Parts: sequence; C-alpha cells; structure tokens
Amino acid sequence: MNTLATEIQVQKMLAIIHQIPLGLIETDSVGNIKQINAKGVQLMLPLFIETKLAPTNLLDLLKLIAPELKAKLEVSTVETGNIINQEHYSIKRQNEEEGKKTHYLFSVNKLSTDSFMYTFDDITEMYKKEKLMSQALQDKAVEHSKFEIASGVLHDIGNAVVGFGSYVTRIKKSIEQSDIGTLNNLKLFIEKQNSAISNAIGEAKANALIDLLNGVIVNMEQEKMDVKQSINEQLNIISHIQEILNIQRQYVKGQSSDRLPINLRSIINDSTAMLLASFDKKGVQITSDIPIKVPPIKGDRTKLMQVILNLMKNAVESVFSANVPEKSVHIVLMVNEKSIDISITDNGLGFEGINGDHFFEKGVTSKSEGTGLGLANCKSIIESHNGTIHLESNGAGLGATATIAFVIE
Amino acid sequence: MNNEFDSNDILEWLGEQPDEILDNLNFGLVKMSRTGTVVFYNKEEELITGVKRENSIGKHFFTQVAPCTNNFLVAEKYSKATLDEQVQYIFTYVTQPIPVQLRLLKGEGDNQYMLVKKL
Repeated sequence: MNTLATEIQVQKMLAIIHQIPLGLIETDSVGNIKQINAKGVQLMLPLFIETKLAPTNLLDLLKLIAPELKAKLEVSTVETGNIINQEHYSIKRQNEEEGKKTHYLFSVNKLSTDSFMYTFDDITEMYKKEKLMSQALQDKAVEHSKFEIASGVLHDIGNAVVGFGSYVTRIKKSIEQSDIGTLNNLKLFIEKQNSAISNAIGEAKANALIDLLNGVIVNMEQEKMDVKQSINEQLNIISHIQEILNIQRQYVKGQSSDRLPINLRSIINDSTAMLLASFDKKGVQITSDIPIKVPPIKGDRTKLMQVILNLMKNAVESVFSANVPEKSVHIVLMVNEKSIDISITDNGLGFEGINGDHFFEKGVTSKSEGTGLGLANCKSIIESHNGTIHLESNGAGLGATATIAFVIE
Repeated sequence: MNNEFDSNDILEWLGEQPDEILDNLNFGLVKMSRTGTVVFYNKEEELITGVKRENSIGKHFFTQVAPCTNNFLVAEKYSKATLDEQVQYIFTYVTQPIPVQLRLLKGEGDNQYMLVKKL
C-alpha cells in the first residue's frame, strides 16, 4: 500500500473516532497524550489553559483537577483492561463559584503497558438536572408527609369532637328525664288531698306547701330550658367545627368532590367564618349582601370555597396594606335571570389600568412573595364551573372588585 | 507587512494572493469555501498536521480533513457571518498532539481561512 492510501485508511478510521461525541484520549504510561479526539480537546483544552499546563500530558492535568482519579490510577495493578469504569468526578477549577462545579464522568482502560485509553464526558448539566429532580422528589416527600401529619391531626381532632358531641348529646338526653314530672305528680296528689292535709296541718300550711312545690317546679323548668338552650348551642358549635374539619380534610386530601348541588350563600358564609379571625386581627370590616334564597348550582364545593377564600384573602391583604381609615371588604351576591354574580369589593391598594384580568395569567402577581398561581388557579376553577371571573380597579389606591358570574340554565 | 500571522489586514491580502505566494507563508494556511470545502492547503500546513495536500483539497475540512477541530471551540465559530479570532488549540488527528495557535478568519468574500502556527 502506498503512503497516500495508508493515510486515507488512517484518515477514515480517525474521522470516525473524532466524531464520537465523547472525549477520548490515548496516553502512554506516564500520561503523554498520543491521541485526543475533537470532543476530548473541547473538554480538556480549557482546563489545560486554565491550569497553565502544556496540553501534552494528561496525568499532570489530572493531578490538579481530579487528584482522586490520578491516585486511583497510580495504585492500580491491572495488567490490561479496565481500571476505572464510569466514575463521576467533580473537577477542581480555578476560582470556581459554589454551585458552578464541573462534573466529568471518566472511564480508563489500560490497552497495553504503554497505552491508556481515557473516555470522558461533561455531565454537569445532567448532574444538575438529577440534583434538581431528587430535590423535587424530596420536597414532594416532605410536602406529602406534611399532608400526612395534617391529615392525622385533623383526624384526631375530628375523633375528639365526635366524642365531645356524643357526651353533650348524652347530657341533653339525661336532662329530658328530670324529676320535674315526679314533682308535678306530687303537687297534683297534694292538691287532691288538700282537705285531708289541711285538716292535719292547717289550711295555710297546706297551701304554702303547694306554693313551694310550684316554685320548685317553675325554677327547675327554667333551669332545664337554660341548660337545653346552651346544650343546643354547643351542639351547633360542634357541628360547625365538624364542617370546617371536613373542608380542611378535603384540602389535605386534595380530593375533588363530585359535582353536587351546592349553595353559594353557604360557601360565602363558611369562607367568611373561616377568615373571621384574620379579618378581626387586621381590623378589616366585612359586610355582605346576600339574599336568603339562592338557587343551587352544581359544582365542587371545596374548589369553589378555595376560590372565594383566595379572593377574600387577597382583598383583606390589599386593604390591610393600604393606608385607609376604614378598611372594608364588601361581598355581594346577586341572583339574576341567567346568572348568579358574586362580587368582592375592597377599598385597598387597587391597581392602575382598570382591567386586571392579566392577574389571572399564570406567574403574574403583584405580591412580592406571590407565585402568581393563586388567581390563575381560581380562573381555571371558575371556568370549569361554566363561569367567568374578572378583576377591576378604579386606579391605584382606589380599591378593587373581583366579580364571578356563574351561568344558570 | 500583510503576510504575518498577526497582521491586521491579512484577510484582504490573502484574498488577492496567488497560490504560490500562499504556499510559501511561514505559517500553516487552509483556504476553504464558505461551506468548509478545502480550496487550498499550504506546505506549512502539511508539515504541521501530517495531512497531505492531495488528501485534503476538495474535502470538507471539519469532518474529513481535520475532524479534531469539529467542535464547539473551532468549527462552530465559523457559523458566524464574519470572524477573526485566535484560539489556542491542540491538533491531534494523524500526528502526535501538537499545541497550536489558530487564527480563524472569515470575511464577506467567498472564502474563509484557518491560519495555524505551532506553539
């Protein structure tokens, strides 16, 4: 074969090797580079330049950028074959900032006493992605366990409340069976036997006895009424607590309940009840104008409550941050012929430019620590209920109104 | 002088020279079409890379003649409309690895160039 033909053969072979998207370097036993492919140059040359080393000896470079790898090679007793297989090394860079570390994956094979083949790749991006992914998984697990704990706590509180409720119910029953009936019977008996008793102890004393019994009976009845009323109040509070617990449980489980007929009035009332403490704390006056009869709409109670709570919270925060003497949030529900409209108006910060519908886009928020997901989520929930949601303001400092309209058939 | 590796006006100068002059430069020179096909490959370049002229002219430089430069550091740079950049590099291909200084040149004209000198 003439030299040109040989050269063409070599060229063909090397062309293949050079196009492999992996760094390849062949060195002799002391690390002098015999061959390096295009990707190899791309990956290693910047490191040679950075360390001010001549780009001729790989072991000199490894000593600086991956000393553990070099140490491993030095103690290897392999005659020929694999020394290092797909091992991850953090590359030591000059002036590298934390979090910007470079990561290479290395394999080293000893082909003969004087030939070592290094195969390597920059896996920094992959490594970062993997890190992010495992972080995300961890976050999810933490979130999940938070839910588990919350769910457990809610369950325990729920059980305690049920126990408390049945205890109160027992008290209620026990006072039904009071001694008032027996006393009444005694009074009737004495009245019947009035003449005989009058003969025995005198009329005045006999009448006094009946009066006394009457008084005792009236007192007892009054007491019974009082206790009954307070027990009923307690039972109402218990059922209210249970209702709130149920709502919270649904949040924690993230379950979406079925589309059942729901009453928007009760949703607003429950939401207001849940936020009452926060309204109070922030000195915000909440007023509402809701008709007693509101036709039911089919929907997901939990999700709609989420929307109302979100809008109310936003309103309260906006009012709280605004410098107005009377902080107020006003909720109106109007039943129209074709729609039920709910509006939540605050006299808070407001915003420029009348139409605030862009706040419903994902990632748009006016809050410094907001994610911009709350309102976007609200919008999709309302739309899934065949409704629309809008946000308007008369300008910065002039408050805002969020309006939801549910179409009724 | 315009015929030095670092000359400012070298791009224009190269475009006007016949092959005989280019062949006698004191640095390696590869003249390519804008798509990367080798048009001229000078003597010094043959000496540095070990690739013969007959084996390079008419071939695609980055994939067939010098695949050791077919990466982000060199070949990718020629995707720019115009280019005048020097990079430190290692030629490996059919030779032992040789540290070189490259000057990557591309103007408005039909050709683009790679100037090479050993370090």
